[in-house]
Amino acid sequence: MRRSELLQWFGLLGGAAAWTCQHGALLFLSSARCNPAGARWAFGMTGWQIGVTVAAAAVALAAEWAAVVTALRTRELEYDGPPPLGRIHFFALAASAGNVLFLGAIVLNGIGAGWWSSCGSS
Amino acid sequence: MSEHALPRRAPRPKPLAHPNGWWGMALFLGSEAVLFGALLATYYYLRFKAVHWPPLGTPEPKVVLPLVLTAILVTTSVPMQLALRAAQEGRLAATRLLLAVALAVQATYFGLQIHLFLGDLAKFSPGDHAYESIYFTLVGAHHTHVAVGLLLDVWLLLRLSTGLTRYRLTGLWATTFFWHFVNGLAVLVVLTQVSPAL
Repeated sequence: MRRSELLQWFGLLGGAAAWTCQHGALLFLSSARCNPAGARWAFGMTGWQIGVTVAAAAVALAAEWAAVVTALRTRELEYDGPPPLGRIHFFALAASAGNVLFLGAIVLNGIGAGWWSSCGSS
Repeated sequence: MSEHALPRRAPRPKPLAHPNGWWGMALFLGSEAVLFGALLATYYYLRFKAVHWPPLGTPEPKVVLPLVLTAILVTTSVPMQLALRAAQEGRLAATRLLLAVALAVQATYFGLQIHLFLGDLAKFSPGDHAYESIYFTLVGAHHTHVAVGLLLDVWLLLRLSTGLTRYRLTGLWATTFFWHFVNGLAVLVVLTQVSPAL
């Protein structure tokens, strides 16, 4: 039970957390690269951009795996069944759809950060 | 979902866990919070980039009436919460009455806000300037949420006309949560809306 709940919460929140962290990290890196205070660091934006995006996508994929595994393990239950098992199944179904969207957002975020890396957008 | 009728005077059950309908509403409101967070961030981003806010030639927003209307809307969280409590205790008549009171106040708020919105549209257009664009988008998005809440209230009142079931109780629980969110949001939106005139 405990393990199922942990898996369910990771499945539900993992994709969202990965997208949020990636968004914040890319914003920070873009600002650092495009502002005078951070320009002296002279780091390669493309490498960071790819690294952060791949890491976030990996977390979102792991969350999707957790959600699908949890949904399959509780597939005999109704989505509106009594808690905690009914809630676990409900969240797993919601997360298995939501993580796909978060994965798409992460990929587009990564591409977008590269598109605007010429420092002309602020 | 099965619709088991609740006894009219059931003892108030000890709250153990929120139903999945409530959790579904929580997920939905999480995404709505992100939407309004983006809209509010856009407003202040544009504001701090602009030399004149609102732009020259655009009237400053009204202050008193929107603030009073918002204060009135926020008070409807009380009858909504009381309606939920009455439903949990199986008091159907009280549930209907409190829900109807909340609906009347919310509908009045909505009607007056739409009147103000149309008045603003007659004075300036969303296509004139970034200020007008974000002003109408932010305020219009909130009015849309109020309209959705009114539809939920009407739907609940219609369903409650034939009795109280667990399904309808969950619906009322989720709708009450929705209204608490919309009322809290109304404070943020109206403070942002009137901020240029403060």
